[in-house]
Amino acid sequence: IRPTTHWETSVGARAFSGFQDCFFRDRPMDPVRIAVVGAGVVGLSTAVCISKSVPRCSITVISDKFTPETTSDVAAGMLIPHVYPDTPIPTLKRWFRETFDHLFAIASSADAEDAGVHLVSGLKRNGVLILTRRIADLWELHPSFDIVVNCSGLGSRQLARDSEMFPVRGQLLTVKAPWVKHFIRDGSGLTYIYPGTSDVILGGTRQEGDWDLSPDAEISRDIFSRCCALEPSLHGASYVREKVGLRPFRPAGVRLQVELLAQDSQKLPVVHNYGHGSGGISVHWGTALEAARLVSECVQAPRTPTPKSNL
Amino acid sequence: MRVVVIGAGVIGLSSALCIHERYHSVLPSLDMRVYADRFTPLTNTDVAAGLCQPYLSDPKNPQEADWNRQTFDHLLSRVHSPNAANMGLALVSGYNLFHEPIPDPYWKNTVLGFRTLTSRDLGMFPDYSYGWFNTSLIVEGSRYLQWLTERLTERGVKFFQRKVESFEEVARGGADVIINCTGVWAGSLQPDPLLQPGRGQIIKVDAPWMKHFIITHEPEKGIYKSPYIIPGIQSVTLGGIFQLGNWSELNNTQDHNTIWEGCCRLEPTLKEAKIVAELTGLRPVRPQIRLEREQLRFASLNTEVIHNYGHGGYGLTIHWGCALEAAKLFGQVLEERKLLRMPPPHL
Repeated sequence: IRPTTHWETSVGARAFSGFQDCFFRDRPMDPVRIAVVGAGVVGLSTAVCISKSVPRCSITVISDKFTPETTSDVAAGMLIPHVYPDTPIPTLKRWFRETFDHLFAIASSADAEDAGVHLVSGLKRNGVLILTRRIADLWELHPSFDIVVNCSGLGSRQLARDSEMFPVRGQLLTVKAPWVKHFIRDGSGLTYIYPGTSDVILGGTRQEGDWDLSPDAEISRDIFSRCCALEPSLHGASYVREKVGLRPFRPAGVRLQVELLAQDSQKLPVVHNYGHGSGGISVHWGTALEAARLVSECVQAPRTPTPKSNL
Repeated sequence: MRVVVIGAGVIGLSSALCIHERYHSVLPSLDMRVYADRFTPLTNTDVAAGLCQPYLSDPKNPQEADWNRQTFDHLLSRVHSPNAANMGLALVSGYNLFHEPIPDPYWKNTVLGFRTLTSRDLGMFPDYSYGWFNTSLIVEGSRYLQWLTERLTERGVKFFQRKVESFEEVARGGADVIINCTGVWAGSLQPDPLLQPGRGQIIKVDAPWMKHFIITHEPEKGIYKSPYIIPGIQSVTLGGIFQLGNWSELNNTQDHNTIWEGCCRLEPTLKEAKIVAELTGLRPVRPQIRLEREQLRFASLNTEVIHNYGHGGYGLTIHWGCALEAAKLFGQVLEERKLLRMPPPHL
């Protein structure tokens, strides 16, 4: 029997109403309850890494958007190394290599075609819960969860109160051009042609501070014309769709660290894993592994004593 | 001047186009026609995967190396044009795999970016221990033949569906020059013990995630007897059959299994691929291409024949160099007959 307790109501029944499946721990041997906020490539891969490396935990992925409506869904998915100012080069190299090797192993397997949904189905198999909900404040997750992993991308502007973050808007076109088997990218990477599984992705733009998610026809024409200049055979391509994504840009780069939130006498460890800018796909697995390590450290750290129940 | 091209595969149509492009302006009387019993999509060209890659060993006739290179350069110059997809042209990169080291091929500098594989590359192919990577071209047979047909039709070249039984019948019909591009069936017009069918069977699958060709080799067994995977524009060709002397044009179940098992072992993601078509073709195998003139006499008629057949499994790879050579031979005919108004264009 799980006691209902006074300290649940002390943070407000309203905040708790969405988490009926989450039971609070009254003994240290109970599973650690981890909430992963964000279901883009960073959130989902982090949840997978945690499920594989942290023993006896229960994981819930909470997000207002899931595939195909995340920023990750817009990305062409090309693996390109990125530079994050606050991350040392050897770490960047490691993240990229870990991500490349991980995806390479998937690509060679029979699951390759479904790799897009590979992450989601992998989670459900490992007993990770998925919850659709918009979080306005990370404290909403307390006390239902012991650790929060913040993979909310651009949402961290609000959730982590990170005012340095801003979107870098990217627009791209998808076309049918099955004769294009190679990627072509101009030096700065502003103009690119990336063959996907069935369609070819043409891009792009880098519009800083632009939050507009609706495609602009003039921009599409410009993208098409720049790509045709690189690869004239694209004149024969047929149009499929336009997409817009807002890259979660942080000037210092990825924030991968633990923050201990405190309110009154309550503590909530938060592992941040956001700010990947245009490098989300390219380094996601490397940063997910590192976030999982940080979660492990939090789990092993001496725990905040939980209040005794009234029973 | 009536020119009859016999054969509407890649050799016939490209020879026709090359000759017409070079001579029609200096030969106002040029009347060119194509006679064939099979047109696209029923020719052997339509079965070919279309990868531009010569055989591994040096050709018996060193001119073939030049013709291969001329063809590659010609297609490469068109691959980025807006017309490329209409021509069936695309750049494609990929792997040639071996069980032991072999010398680099003579065409290593014709293709782009040729290199031998590193051990990390070879990690993808556990059954093989040596290999190459390079960028080459595909020219898809069916689309290319359609494109050639359109260019020829624009130029007023006429096409006739008929089975030619003899050179004599064509000569008596008024042909001054015959371009013989009859491929594997050339022996029915003039016996040629050097010409044999090299039967091939292929499976076409829908596998758009395959962006690279993978060709395995067992040099002792012979070319194309080992699995290969070649992406085309709309589908991927799986193959690995080369049966000398087999004239059967029917698909064979055992060959299907050989191809399917071999290719899925090489590339396990293919297990999910949907089969779109299965085709058999007869490569016109010959120790070297027969590309030469012959004068035939039928009573009072002197007919020039330019033979252009026997391209084995590398017809698409070499077609344009051979067409240029055929056009050169045609030019010689015109000079001898003093038919040219002005000097022939420099080839």
